[in-house]
Amino acid sequence: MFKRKRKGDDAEINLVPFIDLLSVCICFMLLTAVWIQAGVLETKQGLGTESEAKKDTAALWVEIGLNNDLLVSVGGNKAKKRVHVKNLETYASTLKGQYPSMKTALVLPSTSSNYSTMIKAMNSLKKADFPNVGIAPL
Amino acid sequence: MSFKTRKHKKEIGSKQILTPLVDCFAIVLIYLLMATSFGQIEVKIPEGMKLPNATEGITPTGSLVIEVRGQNYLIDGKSVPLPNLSAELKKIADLNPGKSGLIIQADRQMNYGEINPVVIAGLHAGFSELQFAVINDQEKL
Repeated sequence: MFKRKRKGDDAEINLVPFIDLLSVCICFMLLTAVWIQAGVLETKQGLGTESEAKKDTAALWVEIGLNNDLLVSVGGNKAKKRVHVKNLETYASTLKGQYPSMKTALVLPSTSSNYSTMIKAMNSLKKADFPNVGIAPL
Repeated sequence: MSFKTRKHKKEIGSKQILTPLVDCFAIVLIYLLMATSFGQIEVKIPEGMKLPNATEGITPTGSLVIEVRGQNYLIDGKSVPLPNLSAELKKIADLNPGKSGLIIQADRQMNYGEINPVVIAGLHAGFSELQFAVINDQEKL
């Protein structure tokens, strides 16, 4: 009776299979892990008269020119300012200060506009607190 | 007798090494478990495609992925000719009435002219949420 109890006290956990299991788990997770975080830039829009940008008169219009320069205006006004894509966030923030109710921005790309420039423009507008960013289809 | 003592010392030494090893393994395992995303929609980046970088990217909610490769358009991996694109998207939209998100994957070097047919076809098919796939990058923008 006493002998049995002693045996139980001296019993040790065998760590080797435990380490084996852990190392297999780590190998599996390392192989399946995603290191690049993919996300999406969302645009909610409609066609023609459904477009939210048309209802909102004070929308920011960002035209992408032939040399990927941006022409920024408020509500499609004739007075357009040429802005580099890197400076769009600052300029959009300034305009947001002038028109605090302005929530919609419309990106107007052309056929030859670079996709990367368009995404950068959309990203800058979202950063400058324009929650509704739309694209005008050609 | 002296040989026995050496063996005993070796055993103690191996036990001392194992404990921090197990600790390290456990920490790595917990870290990997925490970093793994469960239950989120995964967007697979197609081979040879460089998605544009963005800092304001969000988790995708759209279920349908359309890949733009030059003049080729692939819906969930299946190539669809341009004239049938709108009809095919409409068919999918009708089968999944509650889903309005369309994920568009295109290379950063492309021109918008090549992506525009997808935008128009998607809008005509009733997808009001167009989601442009990007790589969430905080620094390289």
